[in-house]
Amino acid sequence: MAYIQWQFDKFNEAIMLGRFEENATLREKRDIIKDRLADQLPGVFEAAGEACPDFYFRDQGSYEMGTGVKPLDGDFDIDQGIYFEVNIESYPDPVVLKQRVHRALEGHTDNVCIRRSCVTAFYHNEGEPIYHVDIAVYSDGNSNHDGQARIAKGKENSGSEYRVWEFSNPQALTEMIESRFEGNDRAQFRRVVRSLKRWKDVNFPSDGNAAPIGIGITIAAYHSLRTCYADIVAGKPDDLAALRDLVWKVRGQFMSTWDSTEQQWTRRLVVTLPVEPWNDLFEKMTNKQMVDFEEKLQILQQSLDSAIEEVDPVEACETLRKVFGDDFPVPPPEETAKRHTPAIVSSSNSA
Amino acid sequence: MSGLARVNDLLKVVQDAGLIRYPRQVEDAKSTGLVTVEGEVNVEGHEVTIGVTLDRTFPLSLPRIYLRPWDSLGYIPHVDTSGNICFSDPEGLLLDRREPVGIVLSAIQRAVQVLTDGVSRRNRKDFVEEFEAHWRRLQGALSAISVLEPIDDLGHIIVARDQKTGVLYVSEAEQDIHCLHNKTGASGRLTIENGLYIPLQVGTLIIPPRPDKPFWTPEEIRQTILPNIDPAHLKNLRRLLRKRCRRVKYIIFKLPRFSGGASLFGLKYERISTQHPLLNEGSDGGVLPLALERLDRTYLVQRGGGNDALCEKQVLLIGCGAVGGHLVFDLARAGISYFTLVDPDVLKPENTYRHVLGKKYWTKPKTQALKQELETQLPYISVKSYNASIEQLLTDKIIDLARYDLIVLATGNPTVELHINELIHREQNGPMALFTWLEPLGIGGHALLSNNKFSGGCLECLYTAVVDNDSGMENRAAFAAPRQFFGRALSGCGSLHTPYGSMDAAYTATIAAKLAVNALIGNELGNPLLSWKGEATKFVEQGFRLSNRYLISEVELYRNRYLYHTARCRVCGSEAS
Repeated sequence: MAYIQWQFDKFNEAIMLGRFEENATLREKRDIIKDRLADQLPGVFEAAGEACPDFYFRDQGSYEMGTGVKPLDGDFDIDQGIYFEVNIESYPDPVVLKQRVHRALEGHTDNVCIRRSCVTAFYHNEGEPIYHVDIAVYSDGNSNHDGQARIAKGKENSGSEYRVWEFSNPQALTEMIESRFEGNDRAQFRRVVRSLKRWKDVNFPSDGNAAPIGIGITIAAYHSLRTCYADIVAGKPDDLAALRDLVWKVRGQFMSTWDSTEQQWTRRLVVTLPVEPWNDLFEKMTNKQMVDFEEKLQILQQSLDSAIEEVDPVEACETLRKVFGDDFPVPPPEETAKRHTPAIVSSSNSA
Repeated sequence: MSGLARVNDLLKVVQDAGLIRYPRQVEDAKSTGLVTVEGEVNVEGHEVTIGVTLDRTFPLSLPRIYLRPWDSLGYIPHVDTSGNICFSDPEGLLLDRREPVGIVLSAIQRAVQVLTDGVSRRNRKDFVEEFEAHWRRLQGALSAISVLEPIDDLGHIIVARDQKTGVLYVSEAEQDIHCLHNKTGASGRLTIENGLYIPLQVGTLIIPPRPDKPFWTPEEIRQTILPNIDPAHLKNLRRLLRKRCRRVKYIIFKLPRFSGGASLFGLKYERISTQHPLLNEGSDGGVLPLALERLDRTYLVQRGGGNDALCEKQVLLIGCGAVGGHLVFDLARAGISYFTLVDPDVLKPENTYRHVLGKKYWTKPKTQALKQELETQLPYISVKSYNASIEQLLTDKIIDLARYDLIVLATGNPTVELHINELIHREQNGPMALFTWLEPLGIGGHALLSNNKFSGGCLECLYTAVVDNDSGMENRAAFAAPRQFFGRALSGCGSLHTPYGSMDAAYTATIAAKLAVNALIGNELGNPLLSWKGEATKFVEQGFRLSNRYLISEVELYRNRYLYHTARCRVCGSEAS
């Protein structure tokens, strides 16, 4: 068995996106939007004949959880929450607040639109998308009688049944994920999630719901990851073994379900969000997409298995590169030859 | 200080509580600064006078409660001749200093209970429990230091007088008296007389003589003691006293306590004729009580919390630096007596703030200085010191590793320690080895046991590549990432000094010493690697990198303490040749 943790570490360095606080580019782009909203919103509310409520921002999304991955197409996704200090009774139609946000951003970029869960501002460079900012609009928890925050759902042309305030607590989710693992375990959790998210980007079409969503992968790992070490005493991780174990477990969670609409048995993976609104994170995938998902997991499993069995690290890395993409490094054959160890090394011992 | 600072307050308290009848102030209160109230209590139908005295430290200390006259209830335990009632051991108490009234009332209740138990004879056994204290208070009592181990066999002993100091020693042999002083000649020339040691039967209940009356006569001694000697011992005793009985001036008794352990007390017969007065009438002369201060090894070690099962163990300490220096004292205080110390260095002034030895030993070899300090501080200790490197001593065949029960390596030099680890494992029944070392700037320390009863796990395991591309030259237990140079940080130079240097060494030594003791007494059967983690702020600030192992929680480190063992190890693993 080849020990190729070094390659997993390099792979992760190549694909990881730091948190806002660690990544100046993301932070800068986030701040542009925040400044714009802070600047424009009072005028927008005034024009609508309303007093502008107090509001504040919160970082959210995968960067905040430390599981962010660089997008393959270069279209970075920045998640931001705006919390209005109003109760939901003051704005029974949640879309109104989304319209105010939309209005405040109009003209800022060439394309701003209201989507079901957020307001999105797209940024392009010579026609190519470079990044977009998803702004989720909330009614702040302290402003509601039950102390719970809610997210504004619905689009401008949605029927009233789709314009709803839905319980949402992204911060609690981030904290739960943060506290699930510690130390080396946490670092492995993040690497494993990033590897799988990159696998998803490489192996699934990016449009629609063909690909399992990132948070779904994160939560699947949150529930099922068993951390693995090549040397438990020294804390030397074995991401390959951890990934294989996780993929094996997740495949085992696909269940046969009766689809009453399609009138047939179908196999589905259900991964439930561990906070409000407790929804199935893969609910939007069609049965056909699920079949594809399961098949691709099986291929991933086979690749991981053969990499584990492979003695030659070059071969093992070649195999993994096929499923994880070109950012997975393959060492040149000469590098993997038995390295010459210096006969004099420094030691940290004293007495 | 308290709400009871005035006599009137105290009078009111005892009156209101109804514990003492007719309370009244005692006259000399003003001159002494004490507050004293006396009154009457009824103890099992006896009307007696007791007093309560609060001194200036009350309520931070207990009130004194006395019975007047002291023997108004007869001779009972826990009441001395000045009437003081010992109703509570002052140690292990917490007084509610904000409730002085409560303290006084509770003290009176306890004192009256002691008197009640005495009159009703419920606490007669307490005379035996505190026999040594009673014996010491007898009029004309002689005193001696005893180095006798309180064994269960009857036999000869010696009583030796140091001609220079006049101190009297009771011992099985002259040699033992010198051991007390580590053969350093602290005792002068000894004049030796003979005696006998007699263990009394378990369950013996002897009431000590009253301290205010003349001491027991030989007749009373025979009546009190002889029935409590085991018949087999008695027979032996008659045989021993048949010949040369005049020489047996001293008799030492072992009195087993009901609560476990034993008291020792003695007699000195001043005149012995043809028959020994312990057994026979007719030759009665004077007899004096002999009170003994126990300084025997077992007693001192046990009272100090040590383990006397360790006394015969031979320990070789290689490396007498900051860790080794603390460690040897920990082991000696745990009850180990035989040490061999090896270190080539002298104590330099720059070692002062991290080494257990101080300024007094500057420029002296560490081994000799430690020997001197150990022998000064602790009795019954035997230390050999070698001011040389272990490599040299092994080459010259001066040290034979196989002679020891435990070898402790605290050199900070992994090259030599790995070599010795291998030597030990090569022996058929090689000694146990304990390796201990510190990491730079207080990030942690380690202790690793090897060659204990259940084999598997040694220092070499930590330097064995368990994953393919490891070099096998990195310590797997390290909290510092490999391939960094720590020269200055290790010696605590200049800006790299941490104020915890000495504490880190002492803490590491404590962990190592506990492990050593547990292994020697058989409480630890495996070969654990014990690590403690310290603060890493300073370390990281200096630009050093931590290992993955540092990120493992202490709980996890402990849980995995045996898992470092690897079959790939060239010394102890299954792949070892």
